[in-house]
Amino acid sequence: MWWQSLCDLVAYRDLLLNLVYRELKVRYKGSLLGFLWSFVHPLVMFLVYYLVFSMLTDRFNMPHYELFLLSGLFPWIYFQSSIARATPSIRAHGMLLRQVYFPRVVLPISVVLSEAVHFCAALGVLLLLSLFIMKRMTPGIVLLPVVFIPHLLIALGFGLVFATLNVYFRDTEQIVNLLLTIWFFASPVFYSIDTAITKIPELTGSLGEKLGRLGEMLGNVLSLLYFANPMIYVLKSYNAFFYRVAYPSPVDIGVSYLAAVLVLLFGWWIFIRYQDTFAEEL
Amino acid sequence: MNAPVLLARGISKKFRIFSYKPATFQERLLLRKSRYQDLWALKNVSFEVPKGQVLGIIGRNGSGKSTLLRIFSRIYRPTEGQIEVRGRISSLIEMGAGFHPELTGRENIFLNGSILGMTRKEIEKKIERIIIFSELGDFIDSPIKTYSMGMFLRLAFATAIQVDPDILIIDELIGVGDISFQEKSVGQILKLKDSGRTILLVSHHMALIRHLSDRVLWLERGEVKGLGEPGAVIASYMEHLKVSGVRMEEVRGPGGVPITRRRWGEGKIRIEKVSFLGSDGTERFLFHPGETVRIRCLLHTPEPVKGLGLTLQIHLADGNPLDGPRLFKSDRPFQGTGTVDFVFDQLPFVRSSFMVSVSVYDRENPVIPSDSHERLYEFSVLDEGDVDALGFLKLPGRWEAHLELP
Repeated sequence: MWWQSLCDLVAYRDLLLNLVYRELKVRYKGSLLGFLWSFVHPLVMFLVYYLVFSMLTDRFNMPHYELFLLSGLFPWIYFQSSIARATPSIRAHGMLLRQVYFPRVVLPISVVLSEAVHFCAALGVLLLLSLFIMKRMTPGIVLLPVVFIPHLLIALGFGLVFATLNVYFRDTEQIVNLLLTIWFFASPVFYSIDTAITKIPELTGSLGEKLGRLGEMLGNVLSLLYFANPMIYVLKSYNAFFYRVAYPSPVDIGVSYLAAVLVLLFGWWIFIRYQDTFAEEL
Repeated sequence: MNAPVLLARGISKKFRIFSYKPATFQERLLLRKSRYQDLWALKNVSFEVPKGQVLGIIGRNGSGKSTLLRIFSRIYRPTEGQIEVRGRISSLIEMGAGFHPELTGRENIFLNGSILGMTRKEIEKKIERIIIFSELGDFIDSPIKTYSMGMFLRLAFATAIQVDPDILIIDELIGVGDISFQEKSVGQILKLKDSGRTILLVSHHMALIRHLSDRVLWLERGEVKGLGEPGAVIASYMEHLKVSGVRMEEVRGPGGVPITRRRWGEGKIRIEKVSFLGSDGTERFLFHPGETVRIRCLLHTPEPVKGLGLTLQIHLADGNPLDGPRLFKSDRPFQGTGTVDFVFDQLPFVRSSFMVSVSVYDRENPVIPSDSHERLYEFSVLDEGDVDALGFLKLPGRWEAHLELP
């Protein structure tokens, strides 16, 4: 089953490319700013967060906080929009699914890949900004694709799970949007992971004081859940490239790959298990 | 031995028809039970098609024809049984699948072609042929949202037919869509048949089925009612349809207008067969303009009748009457088998498809027909390269001019 689904995907690789092309061409068709829109959204978000956190928190006492924020925000937005747009990708093509056979998996993959094209452009901007602000660049930047691959695969893995769920439960889209909002605050995008590492024991400790043993357990579960978030390790690597201007830690990269393999295998498994009934369900 | 390229071994397909189904978590959490009925769209269907053969599939709407085609196209998975497919399969049920209105015709060929399983290289090799076949000319580089329905269908068909599959699945191609394009489509299918492609063909067009098929499969409520030589299976199907007053089916004509096709009557005299004979005496459904054509009605009555009446009407492809009803009356007693021909010495049609209704009456009971076949037959007239013709008739007439010299 696994092998068959992979062979199918390879046989339809040109379809995948054509769908990516369609996504890119059609998305901003007829809009005034066109492709520029893919920068407007992240930049507006950046400005809002920057102003809010500058005023409220004194930028977490970080030098060049703007660069830190950008180096987390751009990868996060790619992750978020990939998942948010992959989730309805099967349901939105119900008609097509009932008309013709093709490996269904090309639909979520094409979304994640077309988002990746936008993200690559954003990475280019990020690189220039980093160079402009820090006046130097790490030779480790050649490892950028090595970090990007697990990043993309994790997004795809979650996208596959949610796209499958969304066929059977229409409220998956709503839940995913909520989840992504919570996920954003649970990821070190606008604060550094070091802040989280110092704050989280305090937090679980206070839970223990207030609620006793139950609170302690709850605190442990929450902090475990917090550090199980694969985006922590991905974002740390991006921070290394653009903010710290250093090599990313091999541990972080290793954990990213491990997470990518697990999430993708799970997503793929769920997807191919249910894909035969998609056409009937929609 | 000719090994089968298509094989169905006892396939059944069950659908759940939900009258209520929890579709959100909220409803699921409230533990609402879904209510449904099981519907067996196919029950224990088995057949095989050897390479290069055409299997015609007939049956009323809802008999499971489309489900069967979808199972062979890998869209549905059979609930029970197995299918075997040897070779690349392409189906013309999926015309224009994935077309995007904002993209140009050319870009859509690539998109649609790759959905149908072609690689980029293959499409690049075939794109010129597709564009020529579609007759779109310079429009090929305009977004297809600017196309007319006819242009859209031409592009879709041109792409689908060029997939060059080993096995082709065709669902009700004739009589749907742009009329002037039909002759070419039929020609292309004949070409594919001649080049040894295996074809599954679903159609209500009995003459087309009879003409193209090597064998015919008749489905009724998901079960195989007949499988074998086209003439015999079609004859028993037509016999079966003779349920008094029951609407046989509605097909969609161009523009989505429903067209009623049915057989009904009290049944004393029966129309056994209606065939179209060309000038060379062969039975066909494609004719040339101006050809001598006989519409032959084979009648049968086991009991003697004192006389009979027969009406014949020709309809346009959208189902509206074009000619007639033409009435034939006979006061001679008749029993057994006989034929009545309506003869066009020169077929006045230039192009397009036409439907034919035939009804037979007992002279003693001229109110209710003995047997009425409403729009059950079709024939097409091939355009003889007379591209300037916009109409489909050539009415008798001539020019007379009186022009003064300056």
